[in-house]
Amino acid sequence: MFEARLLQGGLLKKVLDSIKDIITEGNFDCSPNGLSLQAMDSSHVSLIDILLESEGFEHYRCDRNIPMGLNITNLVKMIKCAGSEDIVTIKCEDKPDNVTFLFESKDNDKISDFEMKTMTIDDEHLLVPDQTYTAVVKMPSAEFQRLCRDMAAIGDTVNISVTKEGVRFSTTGDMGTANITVRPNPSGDQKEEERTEVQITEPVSAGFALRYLNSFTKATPLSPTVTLGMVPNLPIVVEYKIADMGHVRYYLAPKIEDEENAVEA
Amino acid sequence: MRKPVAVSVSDGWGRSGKESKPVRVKVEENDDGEKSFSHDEIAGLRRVLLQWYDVNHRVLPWRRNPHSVKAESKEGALASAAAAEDKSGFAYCVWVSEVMLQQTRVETVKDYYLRWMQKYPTVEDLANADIEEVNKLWAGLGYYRRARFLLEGAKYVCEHCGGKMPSQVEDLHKIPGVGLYTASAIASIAFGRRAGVVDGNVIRVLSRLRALPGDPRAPSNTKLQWKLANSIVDADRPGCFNQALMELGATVCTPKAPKCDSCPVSGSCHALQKVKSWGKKSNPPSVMDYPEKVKKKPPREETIRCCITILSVEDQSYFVLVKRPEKGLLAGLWEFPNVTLSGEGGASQESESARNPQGREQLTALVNEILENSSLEVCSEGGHQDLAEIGSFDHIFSHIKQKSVVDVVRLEADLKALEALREKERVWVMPCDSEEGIKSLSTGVRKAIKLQKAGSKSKKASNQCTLEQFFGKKK
Repeated sequence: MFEARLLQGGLLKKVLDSIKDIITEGNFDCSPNGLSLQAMDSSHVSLIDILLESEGFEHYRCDRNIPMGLNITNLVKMIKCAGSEDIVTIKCEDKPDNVTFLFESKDNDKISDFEMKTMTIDDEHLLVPDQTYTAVVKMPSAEFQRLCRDMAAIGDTVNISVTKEGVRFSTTGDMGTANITVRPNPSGDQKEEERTEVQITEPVSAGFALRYLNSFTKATPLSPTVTLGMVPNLPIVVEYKIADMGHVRYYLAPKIEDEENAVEA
Repeated sequence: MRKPVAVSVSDGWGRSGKESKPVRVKVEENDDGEKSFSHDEIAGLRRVLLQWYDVNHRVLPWRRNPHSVKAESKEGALASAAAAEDKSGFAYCVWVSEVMLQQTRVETVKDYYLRWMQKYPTVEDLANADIEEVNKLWAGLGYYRRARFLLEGAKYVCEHCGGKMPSQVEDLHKIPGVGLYTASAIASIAFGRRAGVVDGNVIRVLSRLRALPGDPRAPSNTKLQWKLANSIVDADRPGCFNQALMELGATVCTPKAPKCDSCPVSGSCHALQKVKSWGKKSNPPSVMDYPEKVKKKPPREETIRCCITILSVEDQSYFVLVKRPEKGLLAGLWEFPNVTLSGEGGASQESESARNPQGREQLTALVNEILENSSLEVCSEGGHQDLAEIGSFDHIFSHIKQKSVVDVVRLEADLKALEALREKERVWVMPCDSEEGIKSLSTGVRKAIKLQKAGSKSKKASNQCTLEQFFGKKK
């Protein structure tokens, strides 16, 4: 059987908020190491990778691997019934038909439990290679969110190019073009989470659909910082770390310019 | 304090005396004096409103006002002087315009009206049309039931009234799809019958003039509105008077920011009097408090997934469209094959979509069913001839908020396959570049086409890769 107790129930809500715009259902894989999820959006352009390590839970028991297929839309509805400060316990059998969610209020004066039907989802898992990113940018997550939103008001695609000098975000739309460059700021003055850091072994530049990036930024409440990892001609990774717990990562396939177009440019 | 009052109410329809003196009728005892108009007030309203109308009315293609001070309108009236004798013909024009104007803005209606009159100048021409053509001409106006009713009504007029529009409210009311409002409007405007009308504009004007409380569409209040409308309608120019009342509602006594300063009948407006006599106390009333706003039920939400199926035959591409059922929403109109993901369906659909993420498989099966016997097929998974999602859009009907997820599939076809599809009764193979064809589709379908066209344009600039191009599959 599987049983996990999480003191910060609000975290569960934040995690669900970070994926509900991208997928409508998904397999949560329970294993002795923790709770994880890997899922692609319906057009297979982006991939969500979530890990909540067993150590982050107050209590965690899982004897064997259990796939827990859940409808995310319904799950979000259900979580809404719980208070954001509640302690949550998730329970299910080895081959579950149902998953139980138990919410206890902080003062222990209210207990609610919900039983949700599971579903069988045949999802394909992709093999995400462990790679060294040639460019890694760490920046405040709120700033990244704002940037993506501003860019999306102008164009559909953002070109992200990382050099030693900083990260340049540019987009083109019907009304014109926009460029925003974020420079790494010298360490010392600010708090760690307000800093922008760039580590680079090779300059990278690629285009990505803003529609997806914008839905990734729904994870902003999970972490004060966001990390972007890029390798030439490969998907970008956008990572939000969950303190003492794990991460929510998104992979997004690039947009590749047509050869015809490239010649013109 | 209640006292029995004598209120002037028209004693019925079809009376057209020379004098515009109202008929005095005793009204039920429980009637409140506040809710009626006095004899003098009625005389004043008629005079002032008609005067105002002759100077201020909008010039619209279906409108005739021989008393108008507007040159262009007078010319129109003269030009149609010959037609003026043809009251049945005018009645048909009024009918078409009134039906089009229900729930639709005047500016939008103008073009549709002119095109309609060009294609079906008389009620006989319309009666001989088929629903397919009528729907196509109506495309984009919304509330497609209205087009069907017009056609059925025209057939009724030709079968039961010898092709002449009846002139009495009661007889007009018998025509399928013609309600009391439309019947009264036609009778008063085209035939000079003395009949009041009540539409949304009139409800607003009357509610404010008499500061009527309560839901204006509640049965008892509807009765009151009709009674008031019938009591004030002018006997000599009932059509112009009714149009004046509606025009006032549309241009001066508007739902928001009414122009009370330029209102010709502000002196009789009880709502305005309440505002003026309020003094300096807090929470002042507003003319806009009338009529009372009734909360509408929010539209139900629904998600569908549709597939724009495109056939490439030599240099030409074609959309494959299917016909909707003859009843219900958008009855008999053409659309792209689609499945409902959530909303209308019950639990069965829910579990269905559980097995097929977002209805993709269902939609593939549906498209293949449509393509049956044409040797064309959409692959269920992977490959070139597979469904590709391009985006989504929302469309709001009066009672449904519908989200459409749009897929595109392109198939190479030959002329033989095209012929096989053309033989199918409920399938329409439409050239993608046919402007005429696109014009004849409902707004929702046009939105999908717009999305597809925008997508194919931006596709030229940059291509979205999928993750499978980079990451291998895990066993």
